[in-house]
Order: sequence, then structure tokens, then C-alpha cells
Amino acid sequence: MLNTALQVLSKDGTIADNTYQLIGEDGVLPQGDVVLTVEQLDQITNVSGKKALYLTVDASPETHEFPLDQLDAIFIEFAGFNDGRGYSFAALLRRQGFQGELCATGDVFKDVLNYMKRSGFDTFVIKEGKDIQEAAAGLNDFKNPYQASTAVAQAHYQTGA
Amino acid sequence: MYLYTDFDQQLINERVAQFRDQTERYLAGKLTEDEYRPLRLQNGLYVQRYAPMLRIAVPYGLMNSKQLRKIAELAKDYDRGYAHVSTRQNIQFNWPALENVPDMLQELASVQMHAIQTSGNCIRNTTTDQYAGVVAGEVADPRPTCELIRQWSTFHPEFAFLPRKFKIAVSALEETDRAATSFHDIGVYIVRNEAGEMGYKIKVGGGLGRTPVIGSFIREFLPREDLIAYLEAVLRVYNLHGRRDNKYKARIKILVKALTPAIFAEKVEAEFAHTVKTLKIDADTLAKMDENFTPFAYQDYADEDFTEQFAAHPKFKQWFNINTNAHKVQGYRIVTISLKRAGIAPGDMTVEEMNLIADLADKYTFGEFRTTHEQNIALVDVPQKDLFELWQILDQHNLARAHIGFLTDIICCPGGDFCSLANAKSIPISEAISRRFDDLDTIYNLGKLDLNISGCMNACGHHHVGNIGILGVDKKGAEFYQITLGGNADHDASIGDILGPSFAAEVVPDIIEEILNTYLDLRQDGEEFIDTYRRVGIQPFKERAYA
Repeated sequence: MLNTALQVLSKDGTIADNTYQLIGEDGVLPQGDVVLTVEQLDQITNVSGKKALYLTVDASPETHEFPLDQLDAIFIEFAGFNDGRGYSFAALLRRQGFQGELCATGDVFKDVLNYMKRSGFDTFVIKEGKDIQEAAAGLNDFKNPYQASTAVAQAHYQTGA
Repeated sequence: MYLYTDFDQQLINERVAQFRDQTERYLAGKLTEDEYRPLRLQNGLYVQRYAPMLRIAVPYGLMNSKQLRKIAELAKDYDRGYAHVSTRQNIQFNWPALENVPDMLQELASVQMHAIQTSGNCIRNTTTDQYAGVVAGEVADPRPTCELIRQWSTFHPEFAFLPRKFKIAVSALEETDRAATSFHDIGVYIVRNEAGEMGYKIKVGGGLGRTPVIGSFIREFLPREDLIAYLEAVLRVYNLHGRRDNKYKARIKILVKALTPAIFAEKVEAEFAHTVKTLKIDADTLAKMDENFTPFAYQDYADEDFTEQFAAHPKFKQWFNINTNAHKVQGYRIVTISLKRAGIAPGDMTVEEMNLIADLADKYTFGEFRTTHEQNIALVDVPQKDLFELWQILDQHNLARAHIGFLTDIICCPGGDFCSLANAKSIPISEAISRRFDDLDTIYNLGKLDLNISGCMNACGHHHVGNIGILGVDKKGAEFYQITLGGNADHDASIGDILGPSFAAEVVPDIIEEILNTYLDLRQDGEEFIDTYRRVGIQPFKERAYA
């Protein structure tokens, strides 16, 4: 689950504190910005601040319908960075019309940020123990990709020198 | 061949910088072993039995002389004076030091080479027929398609962390398949529709490894401009649905089998209906891509009459008949240089040999050559008038053994001598068989025959598709070898049948000899080993091997 103490890196390189809160063990909905699990989505209308959904690999956008037009943000969890399903989740959510903030969380660090940015993620919760400033440089590991992707509309296939 | 634009070069340079940074952070303790491992694998760097192994990409097996001289230089400066050609047409170093790898990659970038996605759970090097573009009968030259796939798959952000590795091959010949296309995660077959337009027929779900599977066709015709949209759809379905709970069941072949090819195809078509809207490749790009592979300025030579040289030099005649292949242009010939020599691991080249091959490519061809799936080198544009001279030089350097496609042209993985995954050594088995069958007349009498050796179930030596396959297995800590018969990687693909209980290393050559004698006793007019096997089945071989 989201570590709300961690800062959030934006795709433009800026760093900000996280504003989202979780529903605690007591089940009480906090005031302000809240991130809900799939099971907690029925409380969405009671959230006073910004509304976010927390997605794990068990809730694929391919088989679940989410209230995308009511959500300000969707956190996609990478339980291990080797599990690339979250990249395709981002593609599906954008295709389904989600225009809010896509945030990558979990096993997220410098070396995956360029891929995540191009796959449509806007923000990144860098995992504990990593220097977020150092990680930010990873956003620009590659300047111009060949292929189109969720966040890169135009392909740049080369036709040789 | 395809030469880099500034855009391509920048990507490669950025990759060198990225990998240097990753390696420095790992050595400084800022990246854990678990974090660094997938990152280094995606750059072809394995940690092996004695040292790291670095796998360099050779896109669809196409290289030039300048690149080979650079490989030779690196082998001399950073390795032990040799390099190895792999079954995916790549080149491997067996002894680099981890801290030197960023410098090696920087050197490689200066000749438009890299190690991107040569390992790891991502899209690997696309392969095709080693004679692509120079052999007669192709529906179209497969290289522009391979190059487009190379670019699409390079650093594709959505497909860098797939359930398992992913391999694509392209086939352009109806009569034969030298790239084992049926055994790829995706097989792309170049075809023409009734209107004569070029497009693709698509096979998915083939693979070797623990569970060998022949792929299934899921699309009869795909317009050329839609290939990338379709590949994207296949990869997205696989990325979402491929198993991640068990790495031995994670390849796409398991998913295709579980869903059935028909249901898998439906899922792909549903996804393709979306991707095709945005990922079509425009005709101008495709036309310009073709221009990278326009035929060389071939001279107007006549076919040579070798009657006199054949009479005077029977060895040259044998070499011509066996190690050279027809070229689509009159007066030219395709030459395969054998890298299978007694005392040398199959597919290995020394620094001196690499420099020699680079010089020969410059002197006798247009400076380009191919690495082959069978772990040899093909000089594909040799004027016939130069063949005798070229043969003499190759012969002097022990590179003209006339056995391409025969028993001792063995495909062999590095095995337990180098690889930490292996259950058993494979190179000594190859060596023992080569020594037992060192008489060329004996192997010619046996006809065309593939013998493939893998040191473990991962099947890097493609044992399942050898007419004779040998697999190293661990039996209570001892190295044993299981034999399969009847495998075939061509269009009429088949997976070898297991002969029976495995054998100790020292008897493997005797068993192979018995299998071959069985074939000689049973073969009917003109039958190759695979034909006889398919006619009589495994029983007669079994009876004699275990008698």
C-alpha cells in the first residue's frame, strides 16, 4: 500500500509532498485528499478532497470498470519492478479515457522512470532508500524514442543514414 | 545494410551512459543485486561460472568488416583473444570484467553496435535467414521488416518487463526456413495476397526450452503497414495475461496453449482494432526503409566453369559443393565459413580469424557478412571468379572444412565449461563426436543431418530441433546425456522424440555411431536421416542403441 510519507516526483522533474491519505484501520474516512482501494470505491462520493484509486495487479482495467470521470488520480502499484503489467494498465486506462494523474508506486526507482513516463505516468513515488533527486535524472535517460507509446504520440522510425 | 542516423547514434550513446551509471551505482552499493540483475541482463551481461558473459547484438545477423575488427580489438583488449557466435546470430564474450563493460559498450557504440536487449525478459534480437536479400526465391527481402521490428522493440517502454523473454523471427522463403521461425514467440512470414501486395502471415507461441512447442498461425494476412500495430497487440495481450507465478510457464507458448490459439487470436484482434488506429506505418517510411537494403552494384559476371580446378583440386570441388550456395545474381556465390573445427568450441573465432574474415569481406565482397544460426559466418557476395583464391586462403587457415549442413557442423551451446545454468558440458561432447567422425567421406555418406547439443533444458543449443539432439542432464551429480531423434527446424517443423534413458559422456559417440549405422541400414534411395526416421519411427533406433 502507498507509503504516504514518501515524496512524489513529477514527470517534469519537480518534487512535492504527497497529499493523499489512506483510510486507516478504524475505517474512518479522512478529510482532504484520499486514496481508495478497489474495495473502498463505494465511499468515493464522501471524499472531501481529491479522489484517487489504488490499483494492484489483481484489478486489471481490462476486467474492471472504474469511475474514471470521478477520479483525480490512479496509483498503480509495482510490487516488483520486474512485473511490467502496470505499464499496460496505464495504456488501457488512458485508452478508456482517463485524463487524470497516473502515479507509479511501489518498486519505482531511477532506472524505470523513462519507461514509465513514456507509458503515460505523470508522477512517481520513488521507493524508500533511494535519493529522489538522483532518481529524477532517470526521467531523461533517453531523449527521443523510436516508437510511439501512450505518452508519445508520434513515432520516429529512422530510415538510415 | 542499415547505417545509423544521428538519432540512432544518440540513443546508443545514451544507453552507454545509462549503463555506465547503473554499473557505477551497483559497484557503489546504491543499486542492490536484485535491482541490478534485470538491468544488466537487458544489456546482455550475465554472471557466469567464471566471469561475466557479454552478449553483443548483431541485428538479424548482419555485420560489416569494421564492426568485426572492433569485436577482435575488444577480444584482445578485454577478453582472452576470441569471441563466440551464438544461435541467435549474436556475438558473445566469455571473460570480460564487470567494471570494463561500460568501456567496451562505448567502443562498440563507435561502430554502431550495442548489447541492448540481448537478454532479460524483453524483446530480443530479431533473426532471419542468413542469406536474406541475396538468395533467390524470397517473397521480399526480410531485412527492412527486421529493421523496423528492431526499432519498434528497442526500449519499447511498455514491454521491457514481460513475463519472460520474447523472440521474433522473420521468414521470407516458402521452400525453406533457416531461422527456425516455427520455434519463436512470434514468427513473421512474408507473403503476398491475391492482389500481389506484400504483407505478413503471423505465427505465435513457438519456443524451445523446457516445453518445446511449434507455433500456431493466428493471422493469415496482415497488410505491411499494420505489422507494428499487430505486434503491439500481441505483446500487450501477453504482457497482461502471461503467467508470472512460475518462470517455467511464463513464455507466450504456455498462454497460447492454455487459451487455445483461436481464443488468443481473438484477444489479439480485439486489441489490434485499437492499435491499428494509431500505429500504422506510412508508405514513405516503408519505401525509405527498403532503400537501405537495395542490392549492391553487382558486376556483370558470367557463371564460372570450374571443370579444370575441380579436376585438379578435389578438395576445392567438395568445398564448392558443400560450403557455397547459389546467389540470386549470376556470377556470384554465397560462401559459408565453417567455425566448427576440432579442438575449438563450435562458433568460436580468434582475434586473428576475425581480422582475417574482415579482410576477406573487404577484399572479396562489399565489406558485409552474416553470422548464422548454425554458428558460422557467411560471406554472401563473392564473385565466382574469386572463389578458388578465397578457398585457398580459408583452407590455409583451417576455415574451409567442407561440412556445412552435415553431421559435424554441430550447433552447440557453451555448456558447463562456461555457463552457470548448465547441467553438463556440451563442448567436449561436440569435440568427441567431431573426432569420431573426422573422415569427410563418412559424413557425406550420412547425408544432410543436424546434430544439436544443449547443456541443459534451456535449450540454447536447440537440441529439440536437431535431427539428432543431445541434452546434458544431471543424474545424481553426474553428467549424463539424453538423446532425441527426429527434430527439425524447417517449415515442416518437428520436435525430437526421446530415445530412452540417458547415457554417460564416454559412450555418447558410440551411441551416435549406432544410431547412424541404424539409419544407414534402413535408409531407402536418397532418403536423408529425417526422412528415414519419419518413415520407420524411433523403435529400430531404440533397439540398437540399448542392445
